[in-house]
Amino acid sequence: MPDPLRIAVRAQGLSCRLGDTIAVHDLSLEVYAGELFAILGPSGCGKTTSLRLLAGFERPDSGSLWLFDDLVAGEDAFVPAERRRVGMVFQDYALFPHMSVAENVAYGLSKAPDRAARVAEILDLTGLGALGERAVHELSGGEQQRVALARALAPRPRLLLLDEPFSNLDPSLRARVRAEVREIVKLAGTTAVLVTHDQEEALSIADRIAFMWRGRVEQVGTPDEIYSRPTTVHAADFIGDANIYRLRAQGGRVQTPFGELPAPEGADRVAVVVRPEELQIMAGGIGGEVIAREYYGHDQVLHVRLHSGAEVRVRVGPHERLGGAGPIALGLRTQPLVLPAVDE
Amino acid sequence: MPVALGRWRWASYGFVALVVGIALVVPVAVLTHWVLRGLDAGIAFRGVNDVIGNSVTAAALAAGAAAVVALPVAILGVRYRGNWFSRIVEVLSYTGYALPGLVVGLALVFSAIRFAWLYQSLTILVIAYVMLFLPQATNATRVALLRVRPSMEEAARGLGRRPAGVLRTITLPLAGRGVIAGAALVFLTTIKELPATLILAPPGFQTLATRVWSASSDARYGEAALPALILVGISLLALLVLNFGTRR
Repeated sequence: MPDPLRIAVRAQGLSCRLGDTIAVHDLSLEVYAGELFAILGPSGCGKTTSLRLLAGFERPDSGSLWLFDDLVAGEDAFVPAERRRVGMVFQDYALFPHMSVAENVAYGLSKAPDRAARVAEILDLTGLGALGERAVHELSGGEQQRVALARALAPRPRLLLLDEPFSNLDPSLRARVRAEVREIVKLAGTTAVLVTHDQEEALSIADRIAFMWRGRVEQVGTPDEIYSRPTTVHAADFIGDANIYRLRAQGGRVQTPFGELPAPEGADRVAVVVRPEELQIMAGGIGGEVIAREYYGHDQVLHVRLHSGAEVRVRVGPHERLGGAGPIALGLRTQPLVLPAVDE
Repeated sequence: MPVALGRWRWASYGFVALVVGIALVVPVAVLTHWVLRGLDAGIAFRGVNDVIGNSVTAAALAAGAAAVVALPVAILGVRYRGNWFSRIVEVLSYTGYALPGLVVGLALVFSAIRFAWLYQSLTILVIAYVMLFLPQATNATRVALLRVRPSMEEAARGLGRRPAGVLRTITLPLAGRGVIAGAALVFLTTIKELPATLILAPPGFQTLATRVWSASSDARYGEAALPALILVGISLLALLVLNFGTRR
């Protein structure tokens, strides 16, 4: 279980330049011991570089990094990857093709006396018990991924890193494998940091999420906080579906399609964010016209043009408004978020 | 797009047969003829054992040295692409290949003549071979290294192995086939090398190639034929090795 009193990873102002681009800019975050922490962001946002900084495969240009109480990267300190006791599951799994499953798992245990027992134990934990003697190329994608996980966990790392671990799996397998991986990581009791561009993945398995955008961490919070109370427009836009209106505030107030709302202090331009499921059909509400409908089975999204001219997407149940186009009236379940707008 | 050749089919077969005949059958037939005549005269096998021994020794040393030198060059080229140092090393490793063996031999004679122990030694000969044929070993090693994904090496480091341990347990076992193929290619090319060998070989040190050269320049074709036939066999072997080294 996450233990906020013990910090497993503390990054302070980490920056890392790759060639001409600043891949990671002033990264500061704390990961609690026992936590499954996700770094979420679009491709190229610096999340993989962040993970490689934690692993010791990249050296920061500035800033400090602690793993538990050890300074592993800083002003004139750098602990190389092989001495960090950090396990990593690579996006391509990076299994050793000239070794069997058991040999792969045992690779990090060379000096341990209880080697065979540990291999058996970890194969068991990952549900690979019967596959130890197999060659890795004989395994399915899901099995290969579990070998990668078993190999990383076998030496009892202080920290487990997972780089887009589910992206190479068949979409129909992903949800189940995700749940399995979360369970294995929790059973092993390891702190884990996962990198993903898939918001559903981050929201469904992480204890906390850091949202990254162009090399910077914009928000850290629980999945619920990140989704329901995004603090930046990028986070609101990238995570989940959102109606976003960029507007001008005046005297601390802003006129929105949903009425006048208070604007954040000092913000001249603001973004008003309304999730489609925060709207509902309500007699006597804000009037508009349904102009299109996307039907998904478990729900549907109505495209509505309000009388004010603004367009809004509304997520409703599968059985509502089957008639399609026509007049509609909408109400809000919660107050819209008003965030300071930033230049793109 | 296949085209039906009709009657021209036989003509095209004939042409292909002609090419193969001129390239392979004629030399082998002529050489076999001279070996037989040499046998009659009792000179076909004269000194052949020594010559084979010398050739194999020199070529094996060159192959081993080239494989060892090629490994760091190939690793630099594959893993540190774009780095100025690795580019310079790569270009330098190719210059020997571009130069004629005669020029490399002569250059080494001028350099080695200052050092009595080096001049006309097996060492200087092997150095010349490595300079001339290093790119063959580097190329084969590079192709093999490209198949070892960087993430595998990083995974091994993350599991507690130092770079040297990663090289020993991951990179070399996976790229070993390419390293061996590269060494074999250098071996087979070295055995055929003539100009640098003529200039640099220790006194009395005759290889298959220099024997063919010296015997045929004295019109002792009976003595030249068998070493030449062996060289043809070795060239065929080189084709097989090339096939082995580049196969996926």
